[in-house]
Amino acid sequence: MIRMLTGALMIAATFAAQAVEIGQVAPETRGQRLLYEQSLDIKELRGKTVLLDFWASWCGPCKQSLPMLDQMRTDLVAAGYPDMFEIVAVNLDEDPDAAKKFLKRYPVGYPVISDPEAELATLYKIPTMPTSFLIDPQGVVVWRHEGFRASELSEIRRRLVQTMNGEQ
Amino acid sequence: MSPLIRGLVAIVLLGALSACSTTPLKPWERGNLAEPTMAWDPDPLASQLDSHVYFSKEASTGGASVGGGGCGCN
Repeated sequence: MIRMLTGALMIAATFAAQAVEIGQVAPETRGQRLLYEQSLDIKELRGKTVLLDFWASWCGPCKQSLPMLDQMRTDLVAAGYPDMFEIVAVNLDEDPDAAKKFLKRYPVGYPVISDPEAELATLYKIPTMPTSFLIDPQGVVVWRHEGFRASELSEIRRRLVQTMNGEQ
Repeated sequence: MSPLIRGLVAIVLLGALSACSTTPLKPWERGNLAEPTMAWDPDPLASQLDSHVYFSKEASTGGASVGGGGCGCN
């Protein structure tokens, strides 16, 4: 009986420890794109720095973060970083139509994948909404950013550029 | 199994069962809570009207959220 209990506790501890940590290779991250009949796997983006951004249409700060991240992406492409990075948004709405409605109002130029069952959110153990992860060209998670305020965009941009330039 | 171990197992099981009721919502499960109808004050216009009626009736300048009886001395 005791052995069984110890075993159960050890298994529970193993699952609890499986959150994505800084310095760890990003887990398998793929999903169906929200607006297109395509799937996307971030492994396809190896060699580029990826900003993986988890959001939902009902999340207040996301109304600010999506347009601002899109503008930052446009600015960085214009600044000479066209093929060095990509932003990938992961939508956590249970109803994908709500997300589509949101994107009609706040369109973005980067890919959005849908995660209505929150499998990726569980895998990455999202602590708050929105949360973004910076993944370097080798696929290693190098930074995590929780929440969003307009004043924090410069820090996100700085980290992104640093990672693209290999200065971590 | 000794009574001590049996008691320990009972406590662990009881704790595990009761912990389920206090599991907080995950951040991505708060969509319904974020609905405007779930707001403490879902209709700002109606609450402004209520507040106007209140401070007119009570002569409490500043409305219900400010202490004092409308003497203007606080």
